[in-house]
Amino acid sequence: MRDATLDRPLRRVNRLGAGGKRKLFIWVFLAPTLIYFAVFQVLPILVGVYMSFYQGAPLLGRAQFMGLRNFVKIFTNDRLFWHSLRVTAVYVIGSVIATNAIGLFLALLMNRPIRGRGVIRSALYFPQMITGVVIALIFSAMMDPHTGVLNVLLDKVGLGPVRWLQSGRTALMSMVIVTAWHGLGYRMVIYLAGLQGIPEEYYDAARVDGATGLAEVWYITLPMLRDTILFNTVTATIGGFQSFALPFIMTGGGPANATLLYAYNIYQMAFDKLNFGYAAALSMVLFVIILLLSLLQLRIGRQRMEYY
Amino acid sequence: MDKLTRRRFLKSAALAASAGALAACQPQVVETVVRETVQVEVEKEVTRVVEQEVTTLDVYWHPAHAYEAYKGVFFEFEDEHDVEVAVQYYQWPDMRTKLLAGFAAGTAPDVIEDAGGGYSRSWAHLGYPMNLDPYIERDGEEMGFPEDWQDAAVKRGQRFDRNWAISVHLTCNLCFYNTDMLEAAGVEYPTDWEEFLAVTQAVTSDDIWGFYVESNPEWTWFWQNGVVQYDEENNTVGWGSEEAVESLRFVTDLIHLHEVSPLPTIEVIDTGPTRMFTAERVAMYFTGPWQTKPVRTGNPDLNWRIGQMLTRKRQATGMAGTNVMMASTTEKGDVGWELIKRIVALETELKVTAEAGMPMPRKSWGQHPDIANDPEMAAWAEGLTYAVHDPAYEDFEAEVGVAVGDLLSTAWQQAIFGEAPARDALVEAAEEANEILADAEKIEFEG
Repeated sequence: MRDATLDRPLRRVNRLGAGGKRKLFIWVFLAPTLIYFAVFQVLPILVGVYMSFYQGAPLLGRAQFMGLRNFVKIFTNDRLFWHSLRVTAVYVIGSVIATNAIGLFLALLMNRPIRGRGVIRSALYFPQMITGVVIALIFSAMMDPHTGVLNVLLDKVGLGPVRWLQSGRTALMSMVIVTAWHGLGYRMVIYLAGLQGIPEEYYDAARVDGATGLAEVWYITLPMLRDTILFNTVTATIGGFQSFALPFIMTGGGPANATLLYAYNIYQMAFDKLNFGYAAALSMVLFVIILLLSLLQLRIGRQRMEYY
Repeated sequence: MDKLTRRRFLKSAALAASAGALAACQPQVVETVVRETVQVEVEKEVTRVVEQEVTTLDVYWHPAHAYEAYKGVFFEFEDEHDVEVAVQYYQWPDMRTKLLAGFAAGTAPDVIEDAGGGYSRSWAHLGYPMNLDPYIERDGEEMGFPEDWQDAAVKRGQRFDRNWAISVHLTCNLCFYNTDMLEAAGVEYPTDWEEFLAVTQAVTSDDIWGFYVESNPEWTWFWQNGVVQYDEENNTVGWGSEEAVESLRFVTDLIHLHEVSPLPTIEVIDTGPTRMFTAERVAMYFTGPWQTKPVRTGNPDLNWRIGQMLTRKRQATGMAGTNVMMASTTEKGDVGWELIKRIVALETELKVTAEAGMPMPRKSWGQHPDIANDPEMAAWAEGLTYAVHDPAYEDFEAEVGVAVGDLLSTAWQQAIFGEAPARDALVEAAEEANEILADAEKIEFEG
C-alpha cells in the first residue's frame, strides 16, 4: 500500500515541467535578495517620494500635504538649494579630477616593476580602510590653524600659516584635498586592474613603430582605459554628491556656508529644521541630478569606441 | 522544594515558551530567562524554567557629563530596582539625530538628558517629551520641585504651562583667565569692554593671544549691549539693531584690527579654545563649567581663575545647562521617574560639583556650606544672578528658528572669517530673517 498524500507535492512540482522547476528554483534562491532589496531599497525610495509631497514629518508626526509646492519652492525660492548645489559642483569637479588624476598617475607608477611595489601599493590603499568620520576628525586636528601639524610644518619651512578651514576661499579646497587623499588608493587599484588588462603586444608594436613612453600612454593606455576611467568618474561623481561626513565633522558647513554640500543641506533640513518632507524633495532632486549626470557621462564615455 | 508534577511541568514549559516569544518580540522588557535545577519525584534532576522579569531602562546622556557621580547613581539604581540602566552617550548633534530617528521608529530611549530645553521645549508640541506634571503633583513636595529650584531653571523645562523636563545642571558662560599672564602684563581682570580691550592688548605678544573669539555667535556680547534675540511685539529679530552691529564690530576688531585674538578654529566639536588656553597660548576665553575638568586635566599646573562677565549697557551672560526628560513613548515612566529623582537629588548634585565643578539648579545646593565656601562655585553662583534666559522663536516650527539662527551664524562668520563689514553682514541677514518670521505661522498647541 502506498500513502498517496506523500505524492501530492511531488506531482505538483512535476506538473510544472523541467522549465517550471528551474524557474521555481531560481525564484526561491533569488527571494532573499529580492525581499531585502524591496524592503531596504525600493520601499524607502517610495516612502521618500511620498514624503516629498509633504511639509513637516509625514508618517512620523505633524505634516501638511504640499503637492508639488516643495519642488516649486526648491527651484524658485530656496537660496540655500542653489548655493549648496554650486558648492557641491565645485567640490565634485575638484575631487573627481584630483582623485582620478593622482590615482591614475600612481597606478601607472605602480604598474612598473619597482622595488617594494607591494608595500607601497598597500600603503597607498590604506586610507581607504579608514572611515570618513575618522578621516574628518584627523584632518580637523591636522588643519587646526594654531596647533595643527600642517601649519607647524609649513611654518618651519617659512611658508607661513594657511587658513585651511578658516576662509571661504580655502575651506572647500581643503575638503577636496582630504577627499583626494582618502579616495586615491581605491581609484589607483581600479586603474591598476584596468592597466593589467591591456595586452602587452600593443606596447611592443608601438615600440617597434618608435613610440615614446608618453605616446604609449596617450595612444594606447588612455584609450584602452576608457571604460575604467568612465567607471571611476561616474562612481566618484556619485560619491561626491553624497559626501556628508566632511562638512558635518570638519566645518559644520561653514565658514558662512562656504562648505555647505548638498547632502549636508538635506541633513540640516531634516534633522535641524525638522522638515523631513522638504528634505525628501531635495533628495529626489539630487537623485535626478545624479541620474542625469551619470547618463551624460555614460553617453560621452561610450562615444567613439573604435580608435583605430 | 516543590515537586514537579506533570501539570506543573507543562505549565512551566508553556511559561518558558511564552517568555521566549516575549523575549524575541520585546528584548528590552524581558532580558533573561533563568533556569534552576530542582529535584523531582523520580530523583532525577530536570531543569525548570522560571520567569524573572528584568527591565532595562534606556538612557541617552552627554559624554561630557559621564561623571562618576552619575555612574554611581545608575549602579545603585540597578541594584535597588533590579533593572539594567543602559546608558548610551552621544554628542548633542548626534543625540538629536538619534532621538528624532528613535521617535520616528518607536525606539526612543526612556530617559534623556535634554540640551537645556532644546529637546523638551522645542518638541513639546510634537508630543515627543512626556508631560511630567502628574509625577510632579505626586512627588514634587517630597523632592522639593519646584520650590527648591531656581525660577529660571524651572522655566527651562516648561512650555505651554506644563513641565516637560527637570533641570539637572544650571550654568552660564564666564571668563576663564590665566592669572600668571595678567600678572606678568601688570593688569587686573577687566570689568567693561574698554578695560577688556586694554587687557587683551597688554597680554598679547608673539606667542600669546589676549582672547579667543568663538567661530559661532557669542550672544554674550549682544546681551551685554542690550540686544535680545527676538522682539515679540514686532515679530522681528532683535539683532538687526545698532547695538548688535556695534557688538559684532567690537568682536571682529579684536581679531582683525587689534589682533588680540586668533582667527578661531571652525569645527563642529570645538575644543580649540580649551586647547589653546591649556597650552598657555591664550590668556582669556568665555566658556562654561563643563570645561573646568578638561582645563584641570589638560594642564594641572595652570594658574587660572574664573572672572565675572563684562558690562556694557548691562552685565550679562547666557544661561545654559541641561535638563532630564522622559520620552512620551516609554512604558517605563514610573521607573524612569524614580531614576530622575535620584539624578536631581541634592546628594547627587553635591557629588557632581565636587567631581567636576558643575553648578546646580537647587537653591539648597547654593546654600550648602561646601558650595558657599568654595570661591570657584561662588563665581558661578554670582554669574547665574545676571545670566539671561532668552528663549526665541519658540512660537514657531523648528525650521523657522533654525533658519533664522543660521542667518545670524552666517553673518557672524562672514564678519569673522570673510572680514565683511559688521553692519552689512548683520543688517542684510536681519532683513532676510524678518521676512521668514513674517511669513511663518505660529504653533497651535493641541495638548
